[in-house]
Amino acid sequence: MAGQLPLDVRYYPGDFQYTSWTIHGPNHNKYPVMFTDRNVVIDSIGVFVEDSVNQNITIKFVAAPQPNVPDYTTPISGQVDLTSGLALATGGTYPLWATTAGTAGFTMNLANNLLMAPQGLWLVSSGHFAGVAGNLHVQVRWRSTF
Amino acid sequence: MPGQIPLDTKYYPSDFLVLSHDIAYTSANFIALFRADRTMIVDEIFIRVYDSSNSANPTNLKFGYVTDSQLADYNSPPATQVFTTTNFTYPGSGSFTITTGRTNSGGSFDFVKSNGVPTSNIIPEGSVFFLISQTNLGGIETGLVQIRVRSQL
Repeated sequence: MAGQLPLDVRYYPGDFQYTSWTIHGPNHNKYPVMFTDRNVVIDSIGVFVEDSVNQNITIKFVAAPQPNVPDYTTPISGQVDLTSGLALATGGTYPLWATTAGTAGFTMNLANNLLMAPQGLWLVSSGHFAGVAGNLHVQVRWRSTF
Repeated sequence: MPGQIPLDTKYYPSDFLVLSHDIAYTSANFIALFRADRTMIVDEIFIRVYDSSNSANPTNLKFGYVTDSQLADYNSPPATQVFTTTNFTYPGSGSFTITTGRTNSGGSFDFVKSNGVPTSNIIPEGSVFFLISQTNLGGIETGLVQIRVRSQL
């Protein structure tokens, strides 16, 4: 069956999307969450954790320009912290909401906790999961209409 | 609390969606990504797989769709399937080599084209769009599939 010409995403109307993600433990230190194929604003990032996590783990969100996404265990070349680290623990209050780290270049509006993510960027979760098995759920609200 | 009457999706205005999917599996070779409850067009796919140990075991991946009645269990390829892409190979070196089609840096690609038109990027209503691996994914740890789809033909 013949197909259709792909529509360049710049012609898409504005996006208002969730990106939901489950991160599997253990030892996944870097994990891709989404790729910005157009400029987007990230309004919020929430993290949920299953209650069987048996010790504190931490997670933050970082950006890496294409094509600098690494394998899952090594640091990212050109990595920029987008958010401050979140400490996840059994018995904690969830969801935890990531706050901006104030790193220049990607932060658009600190007062409103908005993150400007330019086209060609990988949003990556960076977690410390050493020795911990568990599932984390990451939920990102983002849009391309400014 | 009373709800509202569900709206048949045929009355939805056009959909322009991004779907992200985790491909963190080790042995399954068939996984459903979404079901087209109306006719959809796939405009773009990004795929990224992390691998630190699979260089000796290349993995072929491709996308396709089947109608609902042809949907198989997760580890058996459907008997009848319409492939929308050809195989591409993950060599375990941190990037994809796509056997056919346009390659962008970092493992993104679009569909195989014929005279400027993809051979098949229309997902008929009542079909399940899936990712299939031709070999065991034993060495692959986690990855990302991100898809741009729309319902406006």
